[in-house]
Amino acid sequence: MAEQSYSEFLDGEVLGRLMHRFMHARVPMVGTITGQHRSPHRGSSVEFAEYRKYVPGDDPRLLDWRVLARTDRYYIREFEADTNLRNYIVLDCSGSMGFGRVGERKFDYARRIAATFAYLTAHQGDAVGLQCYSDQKLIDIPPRRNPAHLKHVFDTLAHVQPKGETQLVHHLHELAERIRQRALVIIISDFFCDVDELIHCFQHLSFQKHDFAVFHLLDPEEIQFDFDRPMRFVDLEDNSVLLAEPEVIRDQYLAAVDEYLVKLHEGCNKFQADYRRVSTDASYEEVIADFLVEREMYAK
Amino acid sequence: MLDQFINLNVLKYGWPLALLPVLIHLFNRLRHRRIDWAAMMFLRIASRKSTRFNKIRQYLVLALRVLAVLALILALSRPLAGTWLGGMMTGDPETILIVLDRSVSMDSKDGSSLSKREAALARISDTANKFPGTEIWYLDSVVGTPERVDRLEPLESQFDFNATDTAVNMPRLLEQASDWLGKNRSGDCMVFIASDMQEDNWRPEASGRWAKVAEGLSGEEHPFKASVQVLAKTRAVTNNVSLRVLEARRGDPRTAPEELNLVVQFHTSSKAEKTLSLLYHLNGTNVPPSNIAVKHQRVKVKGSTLPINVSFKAPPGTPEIGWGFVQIGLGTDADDPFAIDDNPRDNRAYFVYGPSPEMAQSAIIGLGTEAATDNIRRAADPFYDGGTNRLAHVLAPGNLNATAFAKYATVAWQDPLPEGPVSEQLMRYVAEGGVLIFFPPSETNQVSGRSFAGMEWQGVQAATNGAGEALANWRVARPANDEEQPDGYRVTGWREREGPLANSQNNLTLPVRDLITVRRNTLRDHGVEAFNAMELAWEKAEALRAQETPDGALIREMQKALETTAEHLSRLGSTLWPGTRATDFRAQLVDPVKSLDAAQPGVARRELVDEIWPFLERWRGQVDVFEGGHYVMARFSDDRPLLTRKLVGRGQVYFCATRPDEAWSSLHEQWFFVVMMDRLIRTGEALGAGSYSVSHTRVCGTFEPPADSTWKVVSSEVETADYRRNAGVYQSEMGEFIALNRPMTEDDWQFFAEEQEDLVQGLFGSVPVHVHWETGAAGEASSTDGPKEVWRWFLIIMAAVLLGEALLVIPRSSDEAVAGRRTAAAAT
Repeated sequence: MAEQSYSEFLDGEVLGRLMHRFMHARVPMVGTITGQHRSPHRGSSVEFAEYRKYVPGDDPRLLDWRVLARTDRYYIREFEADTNLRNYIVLDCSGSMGFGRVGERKFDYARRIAATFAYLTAHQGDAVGLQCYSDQKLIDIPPRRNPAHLKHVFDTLAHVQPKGETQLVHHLHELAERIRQRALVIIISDFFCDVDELIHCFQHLSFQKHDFAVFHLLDPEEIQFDFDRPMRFVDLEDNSVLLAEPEVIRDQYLAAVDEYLVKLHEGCNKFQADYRRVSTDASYEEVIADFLVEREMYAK
Repeated sequence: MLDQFINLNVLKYGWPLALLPVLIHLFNRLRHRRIDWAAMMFLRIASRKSTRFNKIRQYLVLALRVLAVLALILALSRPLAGTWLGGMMTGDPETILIVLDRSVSMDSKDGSSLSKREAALARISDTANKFPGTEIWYLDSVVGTPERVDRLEPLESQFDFNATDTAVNMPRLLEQASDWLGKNRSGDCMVFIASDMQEDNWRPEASGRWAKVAEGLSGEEHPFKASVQVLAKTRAVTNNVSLRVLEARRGDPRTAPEELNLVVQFHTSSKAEKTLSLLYHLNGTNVPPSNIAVKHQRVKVKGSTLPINVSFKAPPGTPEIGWGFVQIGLGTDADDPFAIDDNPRDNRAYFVYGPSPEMAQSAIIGLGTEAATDNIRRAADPFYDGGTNRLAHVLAPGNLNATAFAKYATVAWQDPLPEGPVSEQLMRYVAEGGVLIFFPPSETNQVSGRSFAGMEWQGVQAATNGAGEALANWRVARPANDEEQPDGYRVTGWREREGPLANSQNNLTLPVRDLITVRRNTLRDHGVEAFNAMELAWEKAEALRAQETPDGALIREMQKALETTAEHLSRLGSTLWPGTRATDFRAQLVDPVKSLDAAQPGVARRELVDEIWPFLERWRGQVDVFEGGHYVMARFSDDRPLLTRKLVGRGQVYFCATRPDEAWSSLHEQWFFVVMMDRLIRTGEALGAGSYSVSHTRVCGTFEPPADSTWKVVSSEVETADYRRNAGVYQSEMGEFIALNRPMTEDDWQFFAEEQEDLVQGLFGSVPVHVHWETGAAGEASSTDGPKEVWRWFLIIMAAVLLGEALLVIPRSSDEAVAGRRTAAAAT
């Protein structure tokens, strides 16, 4: 791994501290190979699941002979199946992600989270893929398990830049349709789009029984809106201009932000999305660690 | 109500700073800062939802900031509010100069038992104690020079604050004050003026002197900074009657030698009828009521009355010449000085009486060696078998300085026009009711360049015969027979209805047409010429103003015309055109116009229209009165005047264009000349000239006897009465009486009203003036608080405004709720 060239978004020390954490899925995964995640199917693991009556066609090797001997009844003994996890990391690459005044750009922050998750996923032997969207699908890297694939993901993250308008909703619908089997979908974005459409999108993902986590990135200035003089606001996505006196519209702005956040939060709760609002002045390590810890607790 | 600012300049030059918040606001609006922004969706929603209240709130905040700055500026300019004297400055002034009006009208009732003068004095005492670290000086018209007030002693014991019977020349008094301040004081000076604001005392028309006062008090050339506080005690005087004795003389020696005849005039402050008890006093004793008719003991008056003739029988042994007074009320009440009316000071009028003028005297001024002088004397004092009551004195023109013209009913002058003191003496004589007639000097005695009342003799014109030779005397001009017309100048018209050449009572025309004149002097009226020159200047100025492209030639013509105007006006004499007015005219109009640069007509026109025009209009109105300043009583056939009359004050001045001299005219041969002179003498008598009473009555405060004479009061209970300030009858060591009475203006109740405060303030120019008006009915309680500095209030206002501004700009509770909800949402 050419670690030196990924230093923009990978921090070896952070990875070192997070590597002992395991990233669990909140729902059973459907995998093609044996892994460390629960599966909805019965399998050959050592963990007993249940007894069921024998039906013609079952493999006679699965009969529990002891039960047959004692009760003269045909039961089959079943065990839990463990399978692998496919992690789809969705990175919003629209122009609005390029904003960042207090610390770094939201996009840079998002890259760190995405790269860290990709590394952790690959490290625990699961497949990781990367989807980069703006007004068009920029990158579509399907999940793979091998380390070489991880390098491909990092190379992609190193070169992608935020530009264009947000078409996240459309692409998420498309993604929800495209993924045939249950998967973990981590969406990293500022979600500056219609909140109702976005919630509808989450509903779609939920309907497909995906475990999806939403990392909502916001710059502190976007939340506080502390300007003391007239400003010429230039849209990062379409370059449109708006002259405004922040002192006059601040209350309305904050009210609109508040309404939007509340609505988004409620939508995420409704459709079991793992919603996390992230301020870009917070430590991304803590954000990821919190995410992993909560997942571990959920798995127990 | 704010009346004044101690630091007016702070307000004058600092008020634009109040616009600073607005400028900063506008500047900020212009300085949009660019920012690349992501959350445009919220911004658009916010812009749509930005409510009207928020905009109003923003403008409200802006207005409050402006108010705050304004309040700060007002506080720094140290405004004064309200009242008189006390607590005017946070730091005491270095000098306070108290100027007290001690005129007669200040003795009118102010409170329940005090006069305006006494009430003002109480305030002054109060003030002296309020400024422990300030030097206090006192000035009034009697003191003349400011005197130091020693606050350790009662104020009344330090100065004579008693009432006077004089008027006050307020501009002159304040000029003395400003001169004294300029020479002696520095630092902050307060001039406190206590006055009843009588217009005649304040003399707003004395603009020249007021300009000096304003200039002097402004301290531009001196190291002091003055402000003026005026206590205007203008409370209405509603119950007052004043009286005045216009004339007093003994009865006709032939018909009623024991009688004394008075002409008395009353003036009341209300139109309600009042019955007055009168006390008559003669030569030290009251006239017994038995000698006086009842109707003259109790007189009913209503408003201003016409003069009333009062006659009573003088007690036996009354001297031929004496003195007395008439008093309203039979005595004074020590406990209540206002028992009779609101001003006890004007309830007594003094007089000096003399014999009935058996002789109407006239003075002929001219060389006794000249026949014309004798001819005039004979006309004025004609021989008659039964005798006449006319007496004419011939006086040499060279020795007139000490001549008292007042005793003459008429003065005839046939010499070069007078100049210097004699001219001024004669002008005063005419103004007080004298009649003066000028005849031309002889041909050998002609002097050019002299004028009297603006009239000037021009050169002699001599009539010629057919051969073009000057006629030697009037006799050669006579026609050979009655059908022919005489040579020389013929009189063709004269005033037949009034004047000295009017028709007789039987409407018989005087034979003025028969006058043969072979020599005459032409007249020049400088008043009319000043008027004409002023009108020319006005025309040029109007033409200049109307021109699209100004013409420099017009400016030069206007300058020349105004110079000419000033030159003619200077010939009118100080009675018709006082020196102060002449100075003002030159300073306000002639000099500014003279300074206009004709080479830059555009600039000059702008300056003329913007700055000089109001003065041009004003002075045009002043000069306008000289249009038609003289009346032609008789004229020659060529419209040149024979006899011209000019009115000056109460009297009249005549100019006769020819002399009663063989070489000039047949005037002395015409009997109408005797009639003419007789009528002039009678006119002089009627106007008051020649009356012993009138000539021995003066206005208190203006009587200036010779320096080596001493005058003692004979009419007053107070032996220390001073003719400079107390009315009364005074007698010289030579036995001559003089009656001094209060000025007539003190009976004229014209006061500045509160509405005229701008006028009062304008008198002081740029000097800060606070006028505290005490109006309303007498006896009404007035505040004794001083004018308060109210800058602290403005600081409080500023603090309140800033607090309001802070309340508007700090986040409202709804903002905090939004932030709180957001925080809560973030926590989830």
